[in-house]
Amino acid sequence: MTEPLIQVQQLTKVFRDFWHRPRVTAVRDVDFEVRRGEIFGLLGPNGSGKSTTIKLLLGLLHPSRGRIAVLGKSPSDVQVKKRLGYLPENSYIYPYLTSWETLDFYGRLFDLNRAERSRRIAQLLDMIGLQQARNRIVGEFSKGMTRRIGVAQALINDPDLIILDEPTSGLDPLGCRQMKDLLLTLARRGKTILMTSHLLADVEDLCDRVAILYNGRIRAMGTLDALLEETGRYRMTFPEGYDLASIEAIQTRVEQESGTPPLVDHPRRDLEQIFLDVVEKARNAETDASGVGADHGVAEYLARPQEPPTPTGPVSRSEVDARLTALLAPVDKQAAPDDSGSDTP
Amino acid sequence: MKSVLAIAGIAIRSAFRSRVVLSLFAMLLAIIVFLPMTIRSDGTMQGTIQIMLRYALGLSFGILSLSGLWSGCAAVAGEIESRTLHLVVTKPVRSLSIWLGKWLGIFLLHGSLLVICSSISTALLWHRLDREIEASGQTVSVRDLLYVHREVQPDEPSVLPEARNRLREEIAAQQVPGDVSPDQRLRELIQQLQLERNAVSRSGVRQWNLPLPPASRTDLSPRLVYRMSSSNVGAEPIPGRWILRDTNGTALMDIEQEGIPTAVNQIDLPPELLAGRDQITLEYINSGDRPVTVIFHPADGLILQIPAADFPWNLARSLVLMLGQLGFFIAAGLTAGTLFSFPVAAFLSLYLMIMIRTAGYIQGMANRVVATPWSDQPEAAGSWGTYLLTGIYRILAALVQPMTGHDPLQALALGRLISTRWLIDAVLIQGVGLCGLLALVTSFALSRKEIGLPGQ
Repeated sequence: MTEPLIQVQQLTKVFRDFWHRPRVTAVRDVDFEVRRGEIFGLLGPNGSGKSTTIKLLLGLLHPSRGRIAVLGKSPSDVQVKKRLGYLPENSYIYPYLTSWETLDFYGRLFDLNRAERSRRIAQLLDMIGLQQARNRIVGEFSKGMTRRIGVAQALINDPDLIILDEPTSGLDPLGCRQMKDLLLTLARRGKTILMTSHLLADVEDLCDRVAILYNGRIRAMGTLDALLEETGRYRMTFPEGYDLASIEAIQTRVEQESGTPPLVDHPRRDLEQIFLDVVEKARNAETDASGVGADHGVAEYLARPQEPPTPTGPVSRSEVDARLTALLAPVDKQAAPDDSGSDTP
Repeated sequence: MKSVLAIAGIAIRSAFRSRVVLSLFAMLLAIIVFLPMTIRSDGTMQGTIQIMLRYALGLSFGILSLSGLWSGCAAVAGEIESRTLHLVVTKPVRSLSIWLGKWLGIFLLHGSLLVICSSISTALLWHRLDREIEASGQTVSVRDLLYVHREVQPDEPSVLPEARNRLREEIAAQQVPGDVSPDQRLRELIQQLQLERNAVSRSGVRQWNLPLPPASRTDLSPRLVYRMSSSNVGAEPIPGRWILRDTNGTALMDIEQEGIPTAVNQIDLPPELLAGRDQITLEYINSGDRPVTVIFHPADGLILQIPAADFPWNLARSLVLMLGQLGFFIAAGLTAGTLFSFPVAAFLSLYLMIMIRTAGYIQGMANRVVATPWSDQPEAAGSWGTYLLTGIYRILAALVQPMTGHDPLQALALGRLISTRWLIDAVLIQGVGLCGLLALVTSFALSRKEIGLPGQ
């Protein structure tokens, strides 16, 4: 089992008023751990205690009860902070600095030398598509652009553990997709990511494991696969142009065996994918942009030798294919003569 | 150190780009250039010096102190509210580095503005005095006019023991009226004894012993400055004879001068007169024909001014003192901003500043002579209300005293030498002691503070 980078035990946070009387319990008896190389998601509606948990993990708040170990130490330990990247819910960046100066400032806080800072900043700005806006004041940026700078500052130190509070908040669909791709790439390169979100689609796309919080308590926790999979039901998708008669044959066969006709319909295209296609075409047509430019993958310095994939990840495509093959073996055998190109059912 | 400089750099950049520096500088420039034009001078060159240095530069320094205090509050409390500090504290930076960086940034900014303002003010003063000297037809140069002196006050014993003896006698003889408290009577006796000591009736003589420090400049005249009142109403000049003697009683100088009551009178002494001497005796004889009594002011009735240095030297020293005060104000603002929310921190800082500005009054109230039940005349004890009030003032004075020191601009305007001792005391107490203490308190508070609380 991989080593846990974050360990939280019986974590409770009670906010008190001026007279020290308990006002609200934001987090109560929370236990979880985040293992190396995984993307862990904290889900929950507004006010469920996600951000408070994150702040406790960062040392911005002190626990009322319970124990937190980040990278094996207290969250306020300077050595821990050296290996940590944090993106707050709103990127609280100094508004009078340019993008370059902002990243340079945070780089200096990590004691990086000038040459190293310049190298990393150039790569990061290229990665987040803000190379053209390097000399623009951050205060003039759109929310999405500010968010991108926020991500860049969280990665300036090449952290082992990245904590992201609502990482896709304020981003357009393109930005969301890029952010998700970035996080997946970082995870593949050995980074451990803890993120909060109330956007379930994001979590579904990214997380290996999730904890669902409500009213300060963890109500459910586990791998996405375990939480989402309906083990008693299956879905098939046929390739484009597949013979309708064969489909009907499968339908009949299933109905005969199970007594219930299976649901057959046309798959819908993903709106996000359509949007991305349109933007990609437009970008190829336009060469000049004052805002966010095309991103160029992941900053080179963030590249690390890949660690073995975690066993807790989502089910891979090949595994799904294998399961489907096994399921459809009798049908394939029956439909084999039609595969030669005949349009006879 | 890199993180300290990075945080300082952010403070400076933000101040420049938010146009805070520009607007502050414009305001200071307007004060230095235009304020002296709006204040009517008494026509003397000393008056011009006072206006240019004490009022114009003094007001600029006051505004810079206030701005430093305010910026200190905003640097932590404001950043906690805007949450920009959240990101900084999650980086590997110690809270002391955050404090030092913010202090350094604000200090460099305000300190530079102070140096620029002082330079402009001095240049304008030089120019204006030059024009006034030319208009008056005097042969003196601006350099000589602005010479800096060391002040020597007479070596005289306190009147307090004598006042206490008299009070004891009066109480024993039951001569203190019933409606007069012992405290009040003691103060009256002190005033009475001072009056007796400094009053010189017609043909009367008053004598002072003056210990002499070594003169740094022997090319300029020492100056005898005296202030007195007259038993006559009005400011009619009173003739007087001044005799200066060495320790053997030999008269070194004997001159007559008509002194003007309530004004500052001065006698220039020959430069070589005091050379090589470590003490002199001064005699004043009320030589007028009319029966008028002269009363020298108890606190500053007679002062010997000995040339000590040039103006730029004193200006540099006064700048060091002002920078020390500025540094302290910024540190106080940072502490208040760390411990409290921005509005509370701003009010508390303002209160601190008012306390420091009224330190003279607080010290005066604290230093009042109060007869206590545990003193040597318990029967003369004052009321409990008096003890309580005086106690509060003494606590306040003890708190404020290290923060105040003397007014460097007053010394500069009056040509008083800012001594090395004064300078070292200020740097050690305000710069190292108080700022260091505040730095430790603030960085500890910052490391313990929950800056991620909702609503912050």
